[in-house]
Amino acid sequence: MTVGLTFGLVLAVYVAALIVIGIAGYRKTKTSEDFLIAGRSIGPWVGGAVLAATQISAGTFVGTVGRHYLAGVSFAWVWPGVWFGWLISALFVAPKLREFGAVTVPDFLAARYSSRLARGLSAVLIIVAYMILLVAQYQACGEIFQAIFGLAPGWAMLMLASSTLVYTMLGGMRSSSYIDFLQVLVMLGGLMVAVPLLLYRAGGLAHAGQALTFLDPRLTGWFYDWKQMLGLALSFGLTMAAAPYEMVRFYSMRDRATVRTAIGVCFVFQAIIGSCVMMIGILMRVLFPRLASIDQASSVMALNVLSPLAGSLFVVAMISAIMSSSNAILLVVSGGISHDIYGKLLRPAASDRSRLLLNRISIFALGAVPIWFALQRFTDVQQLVVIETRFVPSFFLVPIVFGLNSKFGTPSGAIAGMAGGSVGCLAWSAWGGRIAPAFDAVEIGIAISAILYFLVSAAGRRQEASWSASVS
Amino acid sequence: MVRIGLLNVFAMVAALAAPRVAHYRAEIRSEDGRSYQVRIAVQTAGEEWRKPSHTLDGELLKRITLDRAIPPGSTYDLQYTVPGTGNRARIPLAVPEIATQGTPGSVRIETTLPLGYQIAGDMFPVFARNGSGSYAAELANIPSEVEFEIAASGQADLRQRWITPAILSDSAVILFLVAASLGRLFLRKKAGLWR
Repeated sequence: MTVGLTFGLVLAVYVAALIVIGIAGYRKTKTSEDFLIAGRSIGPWVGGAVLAATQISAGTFVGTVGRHYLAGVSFAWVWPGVWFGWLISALFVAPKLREFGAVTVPDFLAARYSSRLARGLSAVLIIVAYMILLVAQYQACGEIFQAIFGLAPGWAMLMLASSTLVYTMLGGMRSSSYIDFLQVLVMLGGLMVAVPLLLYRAGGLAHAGQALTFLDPRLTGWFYDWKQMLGLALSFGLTMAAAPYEMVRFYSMRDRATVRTAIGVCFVFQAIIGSCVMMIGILMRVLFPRLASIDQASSVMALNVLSPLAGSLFVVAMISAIMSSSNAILLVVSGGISHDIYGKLLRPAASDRSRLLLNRISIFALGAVPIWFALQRFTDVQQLVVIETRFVPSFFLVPIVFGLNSKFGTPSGAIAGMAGGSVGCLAWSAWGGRIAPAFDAVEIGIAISAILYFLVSAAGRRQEASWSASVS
Repeated sequence: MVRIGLLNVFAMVAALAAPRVAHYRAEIRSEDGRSYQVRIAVQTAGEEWRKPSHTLDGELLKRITLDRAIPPGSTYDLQYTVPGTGNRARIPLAVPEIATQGTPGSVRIETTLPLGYQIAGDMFPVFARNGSGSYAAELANIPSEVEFEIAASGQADLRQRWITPAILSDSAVILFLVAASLGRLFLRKKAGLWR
């Protein structure tokens, strides 16, 4: 059986399973709260899988594999950065956010800082940032299908968008959580089958090590210097600590304890996936020492190294990763429109039914529009995600982490922090690299956000104090 | 986690100006199965390749460096002999230290086996049979080695046919899917665990 036919069959079975779960979720979704946060019914196992699936995206299977291919074993040191981010989240963000009982992240900001402007600004920033990430997911899907099957990217994007939209629109968070669980299983299956076969082809671990050292001694030693690695790990960690599409997942879990356990379960899934991704990257370097593009490592493996069935499962795993991230993005963005902008700012008296309807309509619209942007290929997938990765923590990290853990911040401090952080990050991305390339835009964005947050909050507090003193 | 990318972009921009392999053709031939003669023809594209060097995997792990630069669009040959080990052939290919252009079919590997022999069971990459004793594989990138098992025509044993890495990995896929489905049913019965 050819790879194309086997892949078609495997994909058909997989999509059928997604639609069945979507329909099951639809039957249980009665209110907009059911839709956005699954009625707060998700437990630790599914919750942990959901967190892992949301974070593992097209980039893990394409970008991270490619990065290990280029840089070797030492690139694995970014994972402690990711786990550090999860640790911050588990200690200072997730359980408190869950206990707060909000439906979206702007909900929390609006309530914590008693500010409608904070809600509106954060909702708009989330929509902008995540639409960029969605374009990246579609573009990655187009490239995978084109590389493996020669299919026009537009068709591949349409297939991805339609299947993701169907299950997201039908069952919202409930179906997406159970589908994420299935997707993590598929990812684990695809990766765990690929690694032993690659090891066998590469002549075993000892020979692979010798071959890697022979190709480039940095592949088994240090490729980047420690400052670069620390910067990379920090960027990953800070992004994970306050990512709205992960935070929304916390809201859907039962309670604080469930959130903490789920983060632990997520660690385990990520450790397995991270190790397999590293092995695939370095073993592909042994088997194909000079690929035309490092981003092709996964596709070449699926097509040329694995058997048709294992290769198909791996491609489906890559598509699963794209789908789970797209689905999480769609839920966050549609929540921003229907719940925060429409339901809380424009029409606070809107019925729950109309919000649920708007949720589904906005998911359809938001899922379709990025196809056009993805087809324009303004830049490559990696660059699109880098923009989003820098942007989100630049405006969110400080107001959320300090808002949850301290009473110091004021509404104007939070708004100044969000606005300053996002503008600072964008400005540094455009021009800052030329001035001081050692600093990343995310570090500058967070630093500006923190300075403005504390300065404006302190000024506001002094003003309040002097005003109350003069009145007394 | 696509997350890193700027370094990729710089690498890709730098790579555009670099010399590339336009066509790579490897011919592997054996008269008796005890040794394999490898003849490689490489055509380059892009800028002049100033320090032409190749890596050779396998037991050797060595570099083959040419003593002259390769002008763009020209073709050069490499030839070497690799000993065979029984029915199993593991033949390292000289891989230029520049990448291909990534177009499908730009890499072609042809294998001609001793008369009366065929590839049985395991092989890498996947070869298609051309005629008696001749096989070909077309790829977009150059593998570091070619690997296959040979047997006299019609005499491949059960192990060679059925216990191959490809079949084992397919079995592992099926086993995993069945175990995951059963596990899901089990956990669903114990609703607390499933949730």
